[in-house]
Amino acid sequence: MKNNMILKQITKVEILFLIGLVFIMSLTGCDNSTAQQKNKTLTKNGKNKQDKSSELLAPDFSLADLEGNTVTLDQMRGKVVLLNFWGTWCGPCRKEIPDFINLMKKHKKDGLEIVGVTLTSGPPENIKAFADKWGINYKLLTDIKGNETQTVTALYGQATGKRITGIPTTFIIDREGVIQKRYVGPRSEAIFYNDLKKFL
Amino acid sequence: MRFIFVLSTFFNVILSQSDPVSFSSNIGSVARAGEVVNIEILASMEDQWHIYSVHKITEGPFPTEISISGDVIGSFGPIIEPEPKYVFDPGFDSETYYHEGDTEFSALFRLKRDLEPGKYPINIEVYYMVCNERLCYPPKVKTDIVYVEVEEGASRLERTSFASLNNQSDNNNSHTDNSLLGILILAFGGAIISWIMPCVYPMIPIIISFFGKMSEEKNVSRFTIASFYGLGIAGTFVAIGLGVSILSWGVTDIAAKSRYANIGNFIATDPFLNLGLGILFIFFALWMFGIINVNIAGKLVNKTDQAGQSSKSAYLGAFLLGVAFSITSFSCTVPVVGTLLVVAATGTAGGMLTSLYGMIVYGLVFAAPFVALSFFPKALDKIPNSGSWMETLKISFGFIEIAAAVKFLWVPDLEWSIGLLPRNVVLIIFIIIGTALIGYLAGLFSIGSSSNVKPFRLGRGRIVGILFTLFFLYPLTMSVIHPPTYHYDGMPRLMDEFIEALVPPPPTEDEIARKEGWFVDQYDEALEEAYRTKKPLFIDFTGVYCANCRVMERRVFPQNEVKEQLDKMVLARLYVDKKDSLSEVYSKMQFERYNQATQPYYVILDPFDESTLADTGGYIPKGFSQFLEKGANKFSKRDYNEK
Repeated sequence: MKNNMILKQITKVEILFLIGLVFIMSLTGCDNSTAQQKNKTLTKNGKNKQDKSSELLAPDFSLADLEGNTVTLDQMRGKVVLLNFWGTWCGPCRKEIPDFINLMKKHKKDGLEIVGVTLTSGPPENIKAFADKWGINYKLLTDIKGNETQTVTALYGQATGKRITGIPTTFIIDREGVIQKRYVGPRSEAIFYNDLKKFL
Repeated sequence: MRFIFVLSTFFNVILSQSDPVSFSSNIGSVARAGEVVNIEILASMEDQWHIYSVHKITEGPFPTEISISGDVIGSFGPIIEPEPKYVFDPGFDSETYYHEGDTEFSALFRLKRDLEPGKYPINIEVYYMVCNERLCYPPKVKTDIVYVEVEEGASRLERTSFASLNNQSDNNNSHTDNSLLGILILAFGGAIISWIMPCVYPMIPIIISFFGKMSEEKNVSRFTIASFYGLGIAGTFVAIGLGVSILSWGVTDIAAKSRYANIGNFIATDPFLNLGLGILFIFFALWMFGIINVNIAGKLVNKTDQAGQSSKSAYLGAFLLGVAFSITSFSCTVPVVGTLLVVAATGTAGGMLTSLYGMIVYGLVFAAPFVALSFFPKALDKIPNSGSWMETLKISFGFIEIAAAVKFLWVPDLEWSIGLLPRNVVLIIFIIIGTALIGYLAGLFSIGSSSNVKPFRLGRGRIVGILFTLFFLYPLTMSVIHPPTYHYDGMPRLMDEFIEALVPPPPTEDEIARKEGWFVDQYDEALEEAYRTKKPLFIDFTGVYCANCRVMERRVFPQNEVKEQLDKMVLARLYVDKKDSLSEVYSKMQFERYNQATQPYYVILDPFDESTLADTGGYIPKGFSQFLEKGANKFSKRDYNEK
């Protein structure tokens, strides 16, 4: 419900600014720096608990873990969640895996939860085999029976106003369930930790 | 702040809608029904973005998949891609093969053979994932439609094979060992096998009789006449080889070449020739029984004597006997000779010479024991009581000549669909002949001049003859009792093969085969099925007249380990010797692709590009399952089966 509200809000605002956008964007030459700026904005807003309307609440979702149990994001409320959209077929995503493993080893005790939403990577057995091979020590989620991971991907794209087209895409969700940061493309352990530490 | 956020958000929405890769497709020129058509699919990628190879697949990224569909597609050809680039991808910890920039793919397909002229839609579907250094877009599908224009006319030869349009696929799978040494070994070994083929038996009494008469003549050199006889046998093969070489000289039309190479099959199954041979053998039989007494050999010799010349005609007679011997044995020698004819049909000087040498070796080795036999009458003379002995032998051979006549006569009967000599009738005739022969040998009745010889005594020779006949009566009777059933293996294999060489093929086998899932004379359909189900395609090039084919079907295919392998494949049985256009297509296919004109010939094919995974030929009692396994394993290793 919350998500839908945010969605509608964004859509309305977007329609309002539709005409002015193209012009301004051509000036700003939007790229990563803009994204960083946006993220900084988000971070500040996240800390400011009075301004609820500008907070970007992470949409809840239900996905299956590799044993077939249903897992929801709400179950992880109270933990800092690193939500990683990835696939076994995606080279840049794989680069991040060892760093995630290390982060998990070091900061699980501090309340860190890493969740990999595994896209179009085959049946859970295949993903499990992959996870075992790589020694993945964090939660991997996949489709329950249809293509729920796609739905979740679309949901997070809509929620943040920016479609997730490429992976890896990773979000930091704080203990209150607020999206604090979005990364497109792979990052190193150090960068993740640097951003995570203020929420841990 | 909020404003900037929304701005950047919207910008990114727009950005994400532009895909870094776009596709466009284009179809080749106007085509005709049955021809292979090429669809060009151009992938244009933005700088630094890449899609992955179709065929070179490594663990990790999804390969690009291109599929086409349409009602007019008869069978699918290969998807051709340019040589992919490769790089060590640390994310995958392995090499990955990819395409970047503008990349042109080709999708080949064959049009159905029964199409009206017009424009037909072909749907194209490309499934791909695109990545750069930092990001991957999840796999997605793009579709397109192109229209193929079909014009009036028969398919053009140079456009009917995937290989002819697929210049990128290396065509180095020439399987026949056409080296001179290989050919000579084949010719030598083949000749020795031909000695024991049933087709040569009927001629043996004629040889003995002819040379028996000759041995009485003093002015005929035994050695010279035997040489002429040998020359007649060997010369026939050499002449046929040369004939095919000359016919194929400078001919580029593969269909014509394949026809020449299949001349062996033609000779073995030509109704007129077989009718002639059948009548000849009836004449031989009557001669053996002493009912007619046209002593060719004697006449020839007498004539020459009168002329006072050296026995030229006797030599000519010996020579012609050799020719007749070669031709009558042709239905058994075709498997070996066929290979030599394929070489001859290359239409080059090298091919001509190689086939010539091969034919000489084959002819000489094949002739050797029968030339030796021509000395036999002399040795026979020294056996005591040879007159009565010879007489009995002659009468016995007379029975065999009748059987031989029936063997040749059912060919025109079958070809012209007369229906007088169906399989069971032929079998029963053989049984009657065999029973009569036993009766004769046991002294129950006598024939012709045998009455004026010595009183009947059941000697060693007669007992051997009876046992020998019983030995063949057994499988004949079994074949009648157990009507021709596919996969019938209750008979020793040698007998089975023997019978199949002598009697009309059981007509119902294809029906049973179809029920077992075989595609009979339906290559394109089988190929399509294999392509769809991602199974290797097993092709059984076979012939209506092919004895070894029947034996393989009955004795080898049902073996558990063979069946197990066959179950994993799509099965096609293609006849090459039916007198119809499809057989022409298939014999051409066998010749063109595999350089083979003998059956059975087995090929395991990759349905994705029609390339050969394994092939073998002939009767393979042992190791056939290994052959199948080899093909299946090769198939499973092919890249495109990952998915």
